[in-house]
Amino acid sequence: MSLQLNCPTCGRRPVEEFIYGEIPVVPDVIVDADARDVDRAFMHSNPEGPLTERWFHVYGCRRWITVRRDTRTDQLLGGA
Amino acid sequence: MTRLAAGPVFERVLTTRIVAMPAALDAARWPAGHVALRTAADEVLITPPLADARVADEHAIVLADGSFFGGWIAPALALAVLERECEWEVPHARPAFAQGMVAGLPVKLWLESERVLVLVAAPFAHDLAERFVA
Repeated sequence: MSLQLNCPTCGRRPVEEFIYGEIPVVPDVIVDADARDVDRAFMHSNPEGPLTERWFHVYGCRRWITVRRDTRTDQLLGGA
Repeated sequence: MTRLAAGPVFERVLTTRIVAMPAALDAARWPAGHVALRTAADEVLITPPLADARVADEHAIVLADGSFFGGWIAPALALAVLERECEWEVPHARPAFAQGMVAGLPVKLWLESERVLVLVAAPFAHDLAERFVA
């Protein structure tokens, strides 16, 4: 079974119902416009450990939720 | 050519969509015979549409919404399809509202003891109807 996120409106739902709300951050050291576009499009951040994330419940209530997740284990940490 | 089994015919379902403060929606009372689907804390879909929607929020947004297709389905058929096509647990209480992915599509359900209202965004109506076969 896939990772399940707890939506306060809809209840527990498989992660496939959500869109990950990453805000792309391009390092300042990249100054070329094309290189910045490439970085923004493809170089997603992938931090290891506990992380506060935003997910959009596109298949349900169409609202953003905040999730604390350990990216090493996929365990939800509650709270947030 | 593969012939698909005939499913229910989903038709356009007219609703009134109200977006307002959650407290205003909590306190609102809707006329008898209307189904109010609380799709989010600050949003409700009401069908059939309201002639005069009033909530205690001066900034409320009230819209006539014709973007959904759907229909009333017999509970036996609906639950059989949901068991097959739905990864999440359908509520056991009646009446109950639920929404989420069914057969890969975003579906809203209003579950009553004698019937189940199935709503889906208009572009997906045909795809969902094909799945609602025994």
